[in-house]
Amino acid sequence: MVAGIGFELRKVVQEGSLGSFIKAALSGTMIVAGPWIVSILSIYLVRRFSGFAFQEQPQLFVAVIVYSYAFSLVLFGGPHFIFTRIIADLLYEKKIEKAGSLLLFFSLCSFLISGGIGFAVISGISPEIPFTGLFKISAVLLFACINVMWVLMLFVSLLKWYGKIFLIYLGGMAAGAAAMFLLGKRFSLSGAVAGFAAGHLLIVLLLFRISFTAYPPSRLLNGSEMILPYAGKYKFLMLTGLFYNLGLWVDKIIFWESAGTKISGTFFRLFDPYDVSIYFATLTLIPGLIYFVIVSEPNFYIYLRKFLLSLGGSEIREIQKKKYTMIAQLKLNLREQSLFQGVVTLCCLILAPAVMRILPGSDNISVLMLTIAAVFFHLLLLTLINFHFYLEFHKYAFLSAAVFCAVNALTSGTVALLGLADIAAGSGYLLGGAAGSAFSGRLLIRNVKNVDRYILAGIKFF
Amino acid sequence: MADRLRVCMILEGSYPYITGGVSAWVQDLILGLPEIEFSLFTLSPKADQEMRYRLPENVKEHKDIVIWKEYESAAHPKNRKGIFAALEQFHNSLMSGSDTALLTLLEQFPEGYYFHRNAVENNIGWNMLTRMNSLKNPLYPFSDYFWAWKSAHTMLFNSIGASPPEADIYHAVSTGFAGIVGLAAKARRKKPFFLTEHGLYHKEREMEIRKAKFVRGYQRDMWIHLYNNLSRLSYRHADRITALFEENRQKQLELGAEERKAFVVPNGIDVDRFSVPRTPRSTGFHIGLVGRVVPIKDIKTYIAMAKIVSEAIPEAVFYCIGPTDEDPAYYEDCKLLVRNLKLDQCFLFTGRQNVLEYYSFLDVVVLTSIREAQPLVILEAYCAGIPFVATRVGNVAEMLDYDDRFIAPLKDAEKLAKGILYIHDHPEEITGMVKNNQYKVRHFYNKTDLMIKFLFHYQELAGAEQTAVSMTRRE
Repeated sequence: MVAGIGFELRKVVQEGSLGSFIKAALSGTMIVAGPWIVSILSIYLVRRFSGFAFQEQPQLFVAVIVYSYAFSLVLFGGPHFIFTRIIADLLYEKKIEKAGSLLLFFSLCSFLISGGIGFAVISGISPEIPFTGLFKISAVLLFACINVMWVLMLFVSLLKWYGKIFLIYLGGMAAGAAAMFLLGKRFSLSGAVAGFAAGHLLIVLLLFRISFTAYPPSRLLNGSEMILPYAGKYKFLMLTGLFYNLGLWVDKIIFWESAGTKISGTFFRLFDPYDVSIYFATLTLIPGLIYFVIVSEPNFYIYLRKFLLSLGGSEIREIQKKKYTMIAQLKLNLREQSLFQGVVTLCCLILAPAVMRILPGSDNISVLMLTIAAVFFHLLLLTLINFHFYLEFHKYAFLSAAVFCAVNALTSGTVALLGLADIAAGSGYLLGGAAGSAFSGRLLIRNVKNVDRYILAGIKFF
Repeated sequence: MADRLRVCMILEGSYPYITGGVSAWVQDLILGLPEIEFSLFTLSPKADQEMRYRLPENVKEHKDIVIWKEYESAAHPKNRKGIFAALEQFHNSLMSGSDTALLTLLEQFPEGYYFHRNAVENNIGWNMLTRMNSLKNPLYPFSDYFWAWKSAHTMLFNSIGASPPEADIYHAVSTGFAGIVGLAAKARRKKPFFLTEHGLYHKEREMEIRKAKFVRGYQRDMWIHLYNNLSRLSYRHADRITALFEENRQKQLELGAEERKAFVVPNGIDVDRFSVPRTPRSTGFHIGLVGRVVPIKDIKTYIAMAKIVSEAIPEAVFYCIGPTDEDPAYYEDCKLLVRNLKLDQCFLFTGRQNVLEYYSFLDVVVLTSIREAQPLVILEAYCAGIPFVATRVGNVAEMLDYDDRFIAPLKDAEKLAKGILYIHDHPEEITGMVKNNQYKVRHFYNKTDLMIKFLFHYQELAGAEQTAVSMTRRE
């Protein structure tokens, strides 16, 4: 997904100094996880310091944010993959006006649809807080803005403006935090939600501005004429998005429902022992992601490209040689990345007891350690899905995501039924990731051997 | 059998979409046998081509397929696993020159089953392909071989899976893929397969392949092998074969046709129609070429010949009588050549015309083709009492009685010119020759006789006790 920037970062690393290494690492962190880190930190800060702004039901505030992020990804993760594909094709064909127009159409649809869903959901709750109307409007606005924000970030990522994304996100969240505190003091929880939503709205507007400056839309086109055929053609791509995101959140949803604390006046539930562990554990993904961006993905791309070029004009022996070199490199990348992330995971596991002491709302070391271990497999699964995409094995990427989701759901459901959430939450995430990775890895290695046949014979997996 | 005998004509790249000798022959045959109910099964390079002939009333059905297109299968084999074994055996047998495996293959493939996609998608098919490439074509790009292999097999599987109209006899007008359609119909429907050849399909394809610059390495051999084998299969399994002349018949026998099944049925013309009264012009010496302005007719050699003749016979006038719209770029080249050789005043491109008008006054007819079978134009000219000069292609030499004075090698404008000058300088001798030629045409190349012969063949095939109920395996 970010192979291009990976090559740039490799050039920085290859300068050879400690300084260049740190520079590449920081840049990589910002690129792969900048907005994500900012989000996690924001939620952490809110949980920690919301008392300064408002007193009632801080958990409701957290629930609105968490549920907004969770369901935005689950509900719209699939269409986002389709959107990314269309935009990538349009940019490749240099149809700039169409790209801008499609962004406008997709954003409007996301806003309206998610706003509608948000309105339907929020209408069903009656929280016992002042300024309920403001709360509901702000919650719906927050949900809609988060959905539009994902779309915009996908678009701007394709343009490789990572620095701008980070700065806009940082600025927007800072403004949102400030608004949250100010409005929270005036309008209590409702004002805090309004402030947070305003911060997201600012991010959306700024992202629109830079997007439309570079790619101004000529008109509002009927994007369904483009989107529906793509969705039909690339259905496995869409399903991968759905099941991958569902797989990431299904265990949380299960534990919210089975072991979580209900927030009065609503159907929201939160299960802090697991939620907090997740926030921290997923941060441990960052080093591995940087490794993927700088090392694994560019390496694979280089050898894949050589192989693909050989298909067009080389004799059979050369093609076979390039293919098996690519496969060997693929296996090497997976091994070395896993080793790297394995070391990171091991260190985090060792440090887990110390970390737990500073995490608010978490006192279950087993849950934290299960979650940290699960992240190892999460990265591996993500890597394998990416490689499947490179080879256009969309169907196998979908199957991998489906296995991940199914095993996670089954395991987490079993843990919940047995009442073991307090000690074993995270086991579904771990087993799901392990099963998904094993399944995905096997499919990848088996099918990549036939990739020459698939390409020349026109066998499609999407 | 229906009340009227039904014959399905299987045609590849000719009637009713392309004008020419073969198409004219087919049209004449259909019109000349109104008692037969004909259907057409055509294999075309593209869909929705313009029809160049109005189909006679006794053509009751016409099915066209695009030979390159990957059709979706409407039927599936009972034994999928057996397919690959049969295919591999068929490949091996083709290499060794036998063809027993064709029968097994045709039995495995039901009508409407198109195997081309499975052939490369499946691992077995792919391994066969890569193995062949490693053996035969290791030093050339694999993709070239792959696409050549795929193209060839797409056409082959389209022919094998085709569903031609129901008929009592399947009559292919060439070997190649049309022949395969006929063979498949014989194997599945147990109906006789009748093969008529004008030229030799595999030889014509071989010439084209050797000229094509983009066909490299083993691909060339692969295509030539394929076409030779397709012809061999048709010759061996046809129930009746006709050639236009004995030389071609002998070549059919060499490739496995049974002597008792192979016949010569020469072309025929309407001798009454072409017996035009002579009204020679008082001035000028008129030389004509009747044919399309296309490279295969080699009009440029005709123009070069015209230059040589015009310098010896200043009053000579040259006519190119035939359509000019089939290859506009070539036509422009020819016009430019005429201009450059300063023949504007004496060289005319007439376009499509009623040739009878020209036959009434032409003094010589010329043919400069680089490829022909048994040109009808020679018969027409002879019937009209006009001497002929031509290049040595197909059956021309026999038709011109092997008289080297009037036969030239390909592209030899000078020799052609010599022939014309001889005719110009020896009018009395030529008058005698012309009379002999008229007699020959009226007695041996009469279209009525042609129709009778084909009707006889059809009736014999349709009434035969054993047609294709069982195809005996050859030892």
